[in-house]
Amino acid sequence: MPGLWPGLIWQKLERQHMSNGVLIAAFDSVTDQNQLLGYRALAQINAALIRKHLQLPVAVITDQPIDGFDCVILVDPPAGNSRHVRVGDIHQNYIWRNHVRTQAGNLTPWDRTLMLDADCLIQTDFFTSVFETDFDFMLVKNVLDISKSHNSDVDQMMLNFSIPQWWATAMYWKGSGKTYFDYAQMIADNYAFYAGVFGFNSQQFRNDMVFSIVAHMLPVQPFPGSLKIASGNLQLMSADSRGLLFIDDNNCRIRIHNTDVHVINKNITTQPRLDLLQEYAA
Amino acid sequence: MTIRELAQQHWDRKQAQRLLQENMQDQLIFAHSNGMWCANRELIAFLSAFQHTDHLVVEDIYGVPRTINPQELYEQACQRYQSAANAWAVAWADLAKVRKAAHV
Repeated sequence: MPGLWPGLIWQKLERQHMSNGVLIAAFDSVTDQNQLLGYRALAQINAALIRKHLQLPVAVITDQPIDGFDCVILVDPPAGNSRHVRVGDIHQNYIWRNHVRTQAGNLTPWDRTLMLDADCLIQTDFFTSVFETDFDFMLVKNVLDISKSHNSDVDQMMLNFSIPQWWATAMYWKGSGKTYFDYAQMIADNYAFYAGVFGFNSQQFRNDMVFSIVAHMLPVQPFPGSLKIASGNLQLMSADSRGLLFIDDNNCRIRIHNTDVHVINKNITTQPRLDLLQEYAA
Repeated sequence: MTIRELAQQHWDRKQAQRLLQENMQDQLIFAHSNGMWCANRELIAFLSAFQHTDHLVVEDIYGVPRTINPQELYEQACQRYQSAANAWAVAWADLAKVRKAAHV
């Protein structure tokens, strides 16, 4: 199969005809301070939320057997880059294994797939509508930071202000999306070159950069509205029937309710927050 | 939490109201006839003028012209708008009761 990296093991699944589903990629990592970042546990929690709000089956791409999903796709742990994370007050580094997304078109078992980050917590039925459209590929174009009062009105651009930046936090496609994923894989294989052209950091592989270029060259529709993001300075404090409560570095409290949110702060992959979210999703 | 941190707790009412409004805007989006639509006042008012026809070409939120049944789209849009607006009003009233950061 062209475009696969060496060492990838994958299960060839019969694509279920006329099926709609959600796909999440989740790989745990351990920081250089021995802190486990439980992306797999977070994916399990998000799968429960997805089944509750979107009422869709959930498949996971991961490296070890795991419960709580309708379909498990086992692969070798993909290559990753070192990434900084702040857990509590401790600054740490870990291997961020995010190189699998360009193969998602080959790996998905669904006919129409919505791919979400494990930390994009679903709390509404907003994404169900995309399955009823005839668009081939959709990405996030607009984001709104819940702690700021601006930024969703301004088009985010690549670092050299050449083309708009899109976000691969949520992606939707029909079938295998072959054209789109083959193009994404070509960009990934030549990441250093494209980093030079568009001015982004070649040392850290980001799917956002890859798919921004795909969106520039191929017909891609943006998801309507803005995806809400809880930026890295927001700590999750509680999760209950009133919603999710965050506090920022200046002790400003922000509560969101019935809102899909992409939580950037990696604290939610550590144990106290995972327990909180597990109870919330149950 | 220390006393200093408790004293420093605050929240931004305007930002909270803005998030509610964004939520409401998201809830107005729905799919119909393979397109995406926003159940805003403009769409509802426009469709109400074509209730006598069975077919109409209207552009969706992506600018793609779609052939739709105006009565069906109108009913769905009205339902969507009412549901989103009612939820917004309830959430807004709850927010109005918040007086201290600790109540958030």
